[in-house]
Amino acid sequence: MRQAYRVTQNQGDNAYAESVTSSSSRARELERVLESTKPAMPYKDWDILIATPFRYPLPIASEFSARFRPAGTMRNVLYCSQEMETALYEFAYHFLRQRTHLKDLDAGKDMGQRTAFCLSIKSGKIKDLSKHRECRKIMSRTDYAPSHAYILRNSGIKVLRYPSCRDPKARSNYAVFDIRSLGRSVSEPTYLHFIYRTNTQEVRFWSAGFSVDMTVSRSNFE
Amino acid sequence: MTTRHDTRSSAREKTANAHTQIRETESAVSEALAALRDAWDYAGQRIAQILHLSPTTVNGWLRNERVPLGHAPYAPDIQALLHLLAIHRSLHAMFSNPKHQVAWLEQKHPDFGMPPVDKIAESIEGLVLVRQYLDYARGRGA
Repeated sequence: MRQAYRVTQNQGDNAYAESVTSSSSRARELERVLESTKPAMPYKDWDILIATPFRYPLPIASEFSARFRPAGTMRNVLYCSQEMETALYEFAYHFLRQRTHLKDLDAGKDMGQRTAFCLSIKSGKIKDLSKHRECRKIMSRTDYAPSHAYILRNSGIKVLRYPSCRDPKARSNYAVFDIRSLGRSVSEPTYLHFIYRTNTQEVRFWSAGFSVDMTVSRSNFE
Repeated sequence: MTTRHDTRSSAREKTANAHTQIRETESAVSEALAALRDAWDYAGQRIAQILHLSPTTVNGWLRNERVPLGHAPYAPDIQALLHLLAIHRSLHAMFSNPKHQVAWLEQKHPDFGMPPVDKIAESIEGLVLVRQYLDYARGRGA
């Protein structure tokens, strides 16, 4: 088994429901009724942090398209990274992607938390993209067409290792297409704190648990 | 020994508890709707327009402090409201400042090619798509 890391939404509280309702019982009821309108959680034997990426409706809509998730395909993907620092660059990319197009925000900062955790991959099933002669092209920062074409040609891959184009050191990411290639539990779920500055469009995040403290800006990904 | 009277009392108690839970849920949804209105500064009429509902319906929910949910599977108007509340929940998790939540909704988004609020207002499919998109984006840490 190999360890890998992933950052996701904050798992630590029920902040929304608590803040919009007048009692804990109403907060619980609100969460329950909102959850009841989501697709059922598949793969109940796996931790929710692992099963959730395999929950999204198929086929993939074009708006959900990603590196190895072409529109129209019938496979969900869990992305994770070999090193925590690489997972943070990937997280920062997705974090900034939802913010840097916004104009005329008040100068200031946005603070909060996310959850970072460790999972395990069964190492016998990994295909290594870094050995592919067209790896550079497939890992284009801006054009997903080559990576989509690659994964459509190689639809039997269960786990793909590939160099991160968001990490300046190009350390490895994994795209996991089959949940059975993953261990069922996670370890080390830890708060990751962040501050986002709207004027400079940079995010600083840190975690004592993972001994990290980094600042990433939009220019890192241009 | 359990008597018929005990059984009836127990059944009445269960029914009363179920009614209490339904009232709590309906009030919770109404409170969440009022919180969305206040956070985004959207009048009932604006919310109704986005969801293709009658302003009378939405303003009635707000005025009565109760959204009559009925039972799952919910009626289309209730489903639409719950999807919009789920969108608020996601944006609340992503942005602590409500003005940033509104900016995300109302400014052109690179993945939609239009402001997400316009996608929401297009159709029920657009509403569900934006909800699922936000679930996915939050899953990546956004």
